[in-house]
Amino acid sequence: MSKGTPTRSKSKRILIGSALVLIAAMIVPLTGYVYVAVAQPQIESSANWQETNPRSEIWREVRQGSQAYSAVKGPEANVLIDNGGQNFRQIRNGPVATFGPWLLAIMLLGVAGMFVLSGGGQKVEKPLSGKRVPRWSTYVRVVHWIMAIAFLLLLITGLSLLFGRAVLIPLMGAEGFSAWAIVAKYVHNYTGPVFAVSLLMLVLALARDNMPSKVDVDWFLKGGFAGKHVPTGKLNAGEKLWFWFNAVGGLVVAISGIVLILPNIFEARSTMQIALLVHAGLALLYIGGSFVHMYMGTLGARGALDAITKGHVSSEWAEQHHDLWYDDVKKEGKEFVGEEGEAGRGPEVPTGSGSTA
Amino acid sequence: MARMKFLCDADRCIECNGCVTACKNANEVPWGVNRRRVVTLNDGLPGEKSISVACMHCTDAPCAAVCPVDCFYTTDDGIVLHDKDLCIGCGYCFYACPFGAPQFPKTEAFGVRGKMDKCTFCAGGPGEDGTEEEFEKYGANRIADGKLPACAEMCATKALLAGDGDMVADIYRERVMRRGGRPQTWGWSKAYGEG
Repeated sequence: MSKGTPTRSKSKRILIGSALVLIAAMIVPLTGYVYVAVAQPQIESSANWQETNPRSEIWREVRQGSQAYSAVKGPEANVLIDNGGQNFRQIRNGPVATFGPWLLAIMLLGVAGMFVLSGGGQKVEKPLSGKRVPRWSTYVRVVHWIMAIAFLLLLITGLSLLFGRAVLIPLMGAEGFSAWAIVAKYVHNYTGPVFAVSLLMLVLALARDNMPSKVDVDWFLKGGFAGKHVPTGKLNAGEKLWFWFNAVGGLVVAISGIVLILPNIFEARSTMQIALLVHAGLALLYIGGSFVHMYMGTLGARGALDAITKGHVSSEWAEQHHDLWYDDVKKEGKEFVGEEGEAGRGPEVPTGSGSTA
Repeated sequence: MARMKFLCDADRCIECNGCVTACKNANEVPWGVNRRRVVTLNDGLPGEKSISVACMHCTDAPCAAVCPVDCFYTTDDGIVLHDKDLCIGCGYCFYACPFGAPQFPKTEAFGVRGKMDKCTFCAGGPGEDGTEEEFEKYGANRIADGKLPACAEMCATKALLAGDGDMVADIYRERVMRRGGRPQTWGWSKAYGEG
């Protein structure tokens, strides 16, 4: 029996030993995974040079318009590449040059449509009695016409500079258009400040008359914009809308224009790019709006032109278009008898204020 | 026909501004106008790079696209030139150009821009070649004499190359091959390590 015990323990040791070898043989290859798991981050970090290659970083920064140094002094001479120019080009030659003419054409067609639909513009319905009421002071009329003449000069020269290449070069030839464009540039540059000042004067003079009121909401709700007569004060909601477009949009056009004519003060290209796009885009809207204003003042509402030329209108016109205001003026006893076409017959209108009060 | 190009080898340019001086001398440009300039990136830091830049004579030139009087034209050699008789000095080309190439003499009231001036690749302007009038308006016309732009001819380290695009590319490719490897591995980083 004692002989059998060592044999058995020996075979047991062999069994355990071979089992250990087998297990080791199965586990050892798996350490490869451990090695890979530990080594991977190290491999990745040594590959980082590609992401932080200073060489490529330099050129990437250059495309972002990074500031550098240049011995040559000049506006932004130290910037190697300015990306904004491409955006400027694409917006100016794209949406502005494409939608601008469409907008103007649609506004003109709209005005023509209003003329036809209203049967040749609204006429004063009652027969004229010769009674007149004062409407705009001399100050307002003078400033308005300075502004209007400046606006027309700016409109003609501005549209020439924006669309002349497409429209006028085929008609006038390159030399002919260039000669006109130089004149247009100077007229535009020097008329701009005149327009800006007169616009500001008129905005200040008329702001009080253009404060929105409850009547204006009714004007929109009851279809005043479609030509229906809704009770209104001195100015209806459409006129107030045009005023506030002038006050905000017009001043933005004026300010961006003043930025553009002072290259010594505003040197950065990005400022100029934005200023020019804002200036051109808003000015096109402004011109579109002015078509409606010019139509309404002449053919759209007959008799309205007297207000800004002579300063007074017929009582019948006032009653038809601005009944609430007419009642006030009548109560104040400002109605007078004057003859159509004889300006200056009316009583002196106080200067310095837009209101007739 | 050749397609003229500039190429500045940023690993050779030593910011000596010799090209700027050569340009001013050859073209006699007015005070305050620099058709070419050297821009130094990371100035004074390890890895500093200098590059000489002027009009790059773009194929689809933004200046020509926005010009209200259409005064730009491209020659058969691919050089972008402009007609100063048509230019009205509005500055739109300066707004559109990515390289700041268009220059304006500010001699009038309120800094109103005069007629634009820019690098002509030493190719003068429209009209008859080599006349006194052409020199007055546009500077030298070296291309008509069979010469390359003064800036590149004058470059001491031959960093600034000018000429037919294919030949410029061949010269540059050969340089890169001699430097051993890809553009990322030569120059400062190879000599002095990263950073």
